[in-house]
This record gives sequence, structure tokens and C-alpha cells, in this order.
Amino acid sequence: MKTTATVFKRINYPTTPVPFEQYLPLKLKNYVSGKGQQSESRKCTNEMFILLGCLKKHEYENKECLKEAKQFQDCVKFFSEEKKKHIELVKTGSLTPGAKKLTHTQLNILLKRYPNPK
Amino acid sequence: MSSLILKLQFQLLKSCNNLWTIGQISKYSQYSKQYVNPVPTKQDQQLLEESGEIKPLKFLPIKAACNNENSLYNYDPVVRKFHNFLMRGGNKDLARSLLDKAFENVKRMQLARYHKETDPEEKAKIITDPLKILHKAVENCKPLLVLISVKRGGAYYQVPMPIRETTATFYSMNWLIEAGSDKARTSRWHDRMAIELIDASENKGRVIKRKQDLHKQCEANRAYAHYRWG
Repeated sequence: MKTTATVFKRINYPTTPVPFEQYLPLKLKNYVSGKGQQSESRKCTNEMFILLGCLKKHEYENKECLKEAKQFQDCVKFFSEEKKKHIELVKTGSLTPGAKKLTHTQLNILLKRYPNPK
Repeated sequence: MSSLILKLQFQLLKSCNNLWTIGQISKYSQYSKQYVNPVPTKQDQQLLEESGEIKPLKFLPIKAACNNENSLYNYDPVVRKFHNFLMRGGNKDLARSLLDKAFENVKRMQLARYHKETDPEEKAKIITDPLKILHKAVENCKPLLVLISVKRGGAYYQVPMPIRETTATFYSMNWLIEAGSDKARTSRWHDRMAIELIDASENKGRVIKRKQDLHKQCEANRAYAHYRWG
């Protein structure tokens, strides 16, 4: 068959190095996108499993598991408030001195002020 | 002339379009964003005054109170919510009369039990106030978790998720109402409802079973818990 012939054919790659062509400028932009910040880590799963274990132990009656339920609800409440705060921070983009973790809007403000060297 | 009318119509349409896009959250609200919700009951107002949260509210415009919210001695927010969930086709009169009849039945049944009981210790435990029984029943029927179907990889999975306080209240009240409706054709809703309310307040009965079944399903589907984050 023809195909087998082409498969087993020895290809002569060029020995000379490929010349480098610069299509885009070799420097970073003064802008970051906020795509990566939307991903959430797995929050309150542990608390949920503890609650489910307690429910299984006490025949799915929530009177025995009030402590675990409160822990779980507090955890959910805490993270939902954190998320709200984060969204507000992203919207306003206000800079806090000494902060190590920055949102993408804050980074963009800083990059506008101090752009990359040309 | 016709061109002028057209122009006017266009302007009207434009203003309407603007109206839809003012607030993404409350499209149909009559009030602008600065308006605050009213606090109708005196106890809540006192709480606000003690904590000092009333100070900023004094200088803000306040929305008009709903016509079923008031500061009367017999006002109860749980009963108000129950009326609203029970109402079908805007017939609030019927909803109120049905729940009142159910309360009457509860009172009669509990009083009969109270007078029948001979042991004084057991007698003290029997609650005869129908409002207290409703509060207890609604509190007992609230689920801790809820199952939500999530699409992952072309298949739908039932994923256990945390539940909000308002949603849990809705679930419990709706289950109670459905349990009342699930009856023989010859019996009445308020008769069935009285039995369900008393059962739920004592942590037994069909609605409590339904709540436990939901918890059981959540436990069975715990392997899908990580689908919450995609």
C-alpha cells in the first residue's frame, strides 16, 4: 500500500537551525486578566462530611447534631461574606498598604502607575 | 403629526428601556436604591435602638410597610409567611380562614388530651397554644442540607449543598402544607393539618420522615460533594 510506504519513508530533516522570527514584542504587557481569580478552593467540605457522619449516626435526626450544623452554617456564612468582600474589593480596586495578596484590579492600578520598562 | 407621535413613542420606549436596565437586582422596584426596608414590630425597633443601629436609619428614606405587616399584639411573622405560602391564586382570605380553622382544631385536640391526662408531669408537658405548636413544627421540619442537580460531563448529579435560613423555612412550611393536602377526599384540609402540626411539633409524623429522607439521600450522594466547584 501507498500509506505504509509513506510511513516507513525516512524523512530528511534540515540540519541548519531554524531562524527565529519575532512576531510579538518580547516584553510583558502592563495588564493582567482576572480570569484565574474566579476559581474557588474547596471550602466547608470537611464540616459537611462531619455533619453527614453525625446525621448517619443518629438516624438522620438533626436534634442530636445541632453543634455540627452550627459549625457548618457558620463556615458557609463566613466564606460567603468573604466572597462579598472580595467582590467589593475587585469593584472598587482600593489599594491597602502592605497587602501581599492583590486582586487583578489592584495589580492593574499599580501597573498603570509603574509600567514595565520599555 | 404622525412623525411627532412616532418620535414620542420612540422616546417612551427609550425611557422604558432605561428603566429595565437601572438596577440588575430589582428590576421592578418602585423605590430607588437609597430606600430602606421598614421595621414594623416594636420589639425589633427596640432591639435596633439598644444596639444603636437605628441612628443611620433615622436620616434615610423608608419604604411603605406592607399591608399585612403591623405592630398589633397578635402579629406573628411566621404566621404571615405561612399565609403567603398557603395562598393560591391570590386568595388570602381563604388561606387565613383555613389556617385559623386548623388552629382551632389544634386547640380542641390538645385541650382534649390535656383533660384526659391524669399524670401531672405529663400534663405539664402538653402545649395547648397553637401558635407555639406552629413555631415548633416549622422549626423541627427545617432541613440542614439540600440536594441540587448539577450537570457535569453530560450527566446530572444530585449534589448536597448548604441551605439558607429562608430556603429551609420555605422547605419546612411547604412540606407541612403538602402533607395537609395529601388526604382522603372526604376529610378537610384543616383537620389533616391540625394532626400534622401536632405530630411535627412532637418530632414525629410524615413531614419529619420526609426531612430525614432528604438527609439520607444527602448522605448517599456525599461522593458528589466535590461537584460543587466544577
